[in-house]
Amino acid sequence: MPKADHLDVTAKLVLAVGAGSAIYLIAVPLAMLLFAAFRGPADYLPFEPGARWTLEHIQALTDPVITTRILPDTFVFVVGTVVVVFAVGLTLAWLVERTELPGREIWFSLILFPLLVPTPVLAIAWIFLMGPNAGWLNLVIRAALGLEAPGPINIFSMGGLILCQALASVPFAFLLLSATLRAMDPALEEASGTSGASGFTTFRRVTLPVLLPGLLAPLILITLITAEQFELPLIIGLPAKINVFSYRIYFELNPLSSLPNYGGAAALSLPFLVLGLLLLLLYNRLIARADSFVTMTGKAYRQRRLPLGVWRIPALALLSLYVALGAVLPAAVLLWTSLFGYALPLSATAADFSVEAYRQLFSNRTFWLGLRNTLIVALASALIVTTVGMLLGWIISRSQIRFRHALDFVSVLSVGIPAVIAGLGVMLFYLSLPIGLYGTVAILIIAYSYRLATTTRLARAGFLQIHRELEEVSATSGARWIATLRRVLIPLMLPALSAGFILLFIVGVREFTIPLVLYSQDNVVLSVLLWQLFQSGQPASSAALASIIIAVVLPVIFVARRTLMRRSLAE
Amino acid sequence: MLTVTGLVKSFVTPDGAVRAVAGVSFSVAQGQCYALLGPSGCGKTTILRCVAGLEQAEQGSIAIGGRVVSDPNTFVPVHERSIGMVFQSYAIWPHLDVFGNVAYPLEVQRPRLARSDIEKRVMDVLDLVGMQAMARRPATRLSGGQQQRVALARALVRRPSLLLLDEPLSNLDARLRDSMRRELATLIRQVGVTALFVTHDQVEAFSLADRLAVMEQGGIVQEGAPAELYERPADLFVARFLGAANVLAGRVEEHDCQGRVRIALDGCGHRLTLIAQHVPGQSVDVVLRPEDLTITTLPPAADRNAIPGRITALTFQGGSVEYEVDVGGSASLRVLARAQADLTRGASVWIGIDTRRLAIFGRAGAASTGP
Repeated sequence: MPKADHLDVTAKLVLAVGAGSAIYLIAVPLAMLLFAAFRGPADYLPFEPGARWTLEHIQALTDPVITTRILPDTFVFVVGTVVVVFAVGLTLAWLVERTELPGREIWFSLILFPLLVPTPVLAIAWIFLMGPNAGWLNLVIRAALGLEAPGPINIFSMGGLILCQALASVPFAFLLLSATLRAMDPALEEASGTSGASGFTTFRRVTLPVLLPGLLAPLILITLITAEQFELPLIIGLPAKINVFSYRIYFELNPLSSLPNYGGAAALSLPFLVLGLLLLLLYNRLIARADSFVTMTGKAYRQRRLPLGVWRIPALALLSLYVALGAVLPAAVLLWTSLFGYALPLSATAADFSVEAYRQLFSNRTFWLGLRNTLIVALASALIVTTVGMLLGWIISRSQIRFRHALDFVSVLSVGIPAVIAGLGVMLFYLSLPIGLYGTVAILIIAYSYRLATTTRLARAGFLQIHRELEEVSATSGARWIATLRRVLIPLMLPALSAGFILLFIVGVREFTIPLVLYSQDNVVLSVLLWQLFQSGQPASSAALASIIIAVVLPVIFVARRTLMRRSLAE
Repeated sequence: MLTVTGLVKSFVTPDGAVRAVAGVSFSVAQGQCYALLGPSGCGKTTILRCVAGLEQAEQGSIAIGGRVVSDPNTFVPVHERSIGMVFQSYAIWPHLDVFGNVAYPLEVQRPRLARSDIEKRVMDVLDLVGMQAMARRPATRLSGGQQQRVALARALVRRPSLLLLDEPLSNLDARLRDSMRRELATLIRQVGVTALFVTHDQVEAFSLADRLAVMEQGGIVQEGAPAELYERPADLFVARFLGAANVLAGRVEEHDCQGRVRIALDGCGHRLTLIAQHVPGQSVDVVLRPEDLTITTLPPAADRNAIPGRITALTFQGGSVEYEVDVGGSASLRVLARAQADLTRGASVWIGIDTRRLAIFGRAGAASTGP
């Protein structure tokens, strides 16, 4: 095995920069958060003159609002969402991966739609569809059943919030679970069959036990991701007076009538982070077990597919219902509203048609600024994360450097940090620094770049697939490490790296929470602008902007569909 | 050309430190082809990797062409050593074509070489290995034998002082291995490069190496020219490793004034009479190579050593047959001989033993052979 002392100065420097960046991007904001939780008074930054050590923020966690409102609301929201997401995600994954479902590839792409557009786009579309007064679905149901307004569907309720969050998160579960189903060697089941076991016995004695870790691990991850959600609790939960943890943290920073409570927000983040950490540890244990069970070879098997028979109709109905609510109707309602305003499809006349919303948007300077910022931040953070993730992947999988496991842990940690907390940590850090980074596009790039886990994992898997001798023969050919990196490793890793890059770009375009927490006039991005337009009562403009965002994201998806589908999102 | 002195290298495993190489010394003369031969895990590959600079030894020194590249105070990194290496997997880069793979060592050389020089030298070395016509073939479309040639060309292209080969033939199927072995032997001689290679296959070591060292558990057991080692193995391990030998345990019964001893074989109870230095009462291992034994259905002359037995199995191996002969007790012997019509399974046979071609090792470890 090559050892650290075989690396020349340049190599050590490059790797040190990689490792240093990872720590800087993740550990520094977290440390800042930890300080802030124990420094007061509340509206003081942790290192501001006059700040002192205090436990008041921790004591404030026992506030009845938190224990009697926020805690139960968060619990119901998370459990409800996870149950629906897991059930629907597993059913869809099983239908697509293991049955003779017609049009599997198309379903696969359509199901992914909610994962690829910014959540506020979906939230606004669902409000247009399921708003208690003028929601399209409500209008249709009322007309059909002769009911009175409002209702019958009320999106601004716990049920509505869970429904929307479930619609938004199902693709994530779907990807994780279909990867599990795909990775199972059908010979395991066939061996059970040839041993004389019936179909049901095989399922009970072989399929289920083998798949169990691979099913539980996604369940943990979905729980973690759901607990971190902020967008829908803000856009849909707030009008419904539902208070979850992540929203409360944001509220402490932006109270209606007083100064920001930095210490309170930081203290609230702590139990959240501890929970995230525990779930992550559990997840990693399960994943290790799942890998040793199922994906020994890491290859996807040709699965034996079950004929659906009469179940074809309900299966297609379920898929259609999900795709209609998650993709087709939202896209349709946004495009329609951007062109026709509140006029309804059946009663609209040619006179209602107007491109005024688009005209307004295009003449709005903030739109162009937001577009520019969105692209710059998404591209730059994707570049940073891909580079740092690749270096981390090399350190973890190839080097003998003593701290490599700590680096692995730091990168994995990023999954357990909710966006709102990441934004808060970055805010506290750069407000305390006497450099003018706060409020700029640069701070967004830095804040976005904490999501190192996926690329590090992709890069690690990539390096494991590259035979070590391919690297060593470069050295015995007389190449320095940096030449090996440039001429051998990067070319060989290119497919994995570009898949990771595209994924991160989409994540960057989707990002809403971090730019909202770190919002300033100069660093506005499209998702935040969209919410502002919607908040200020401009449905046509916000629908137009949402349509444009969809139009920007979709081509990227189609270009990268195959690699995205098969590898990165499942990571 | 290459001098390795007192090399020690251990690895840390979950069970603690394991000595992979425990004080190994040897040297390879200019233009010589030297083999490290031993079973897997004996430390031979670790030595090769230390010589290459892919591992750093804890103790001992390595000098290539008179320059010390590794000792407790010096470590010349791998890319600054004048070596070329052929890896076990061949490690052909899939993103480059044949030319790109072979040109790589020249392209990363500093100061830069002129493009025309690189092209000329690559084409020359490809010509040497018979791959000139395939210079533009993608690396992913090469057969095993072609990959081996490209790997060799890549290792030779910058005219290294020392060529290192890690199990160079183990990745090829049996038939290809034979022809590539001959080709490799010719090529190394033709280029005149000093070569160090490791293998677990004694046929490979015998046919390629001018000198070889047999290794066991991190140390060299015996070193010498191939014929020397084959004729006079230093101990039971070497004898076993250099041929698929039969080993029979026995005990010296008599020792007469002419230096003749009689050995009773355990298990089957047969006796051998031969000249050796062992004293009565000593336990010995008698090593008989299958190819040195004869097999007949008729009893041999009375003064010849022979053991009766019964054929229990036959394995055809091309021109010859390997007979498994039950000689009584729990002992059986393997004999390699030409096929004969009357030698069938169950046939009663006599195994003739040429006592000059066998080796006897006292259980204490001292060796003595026939005169």
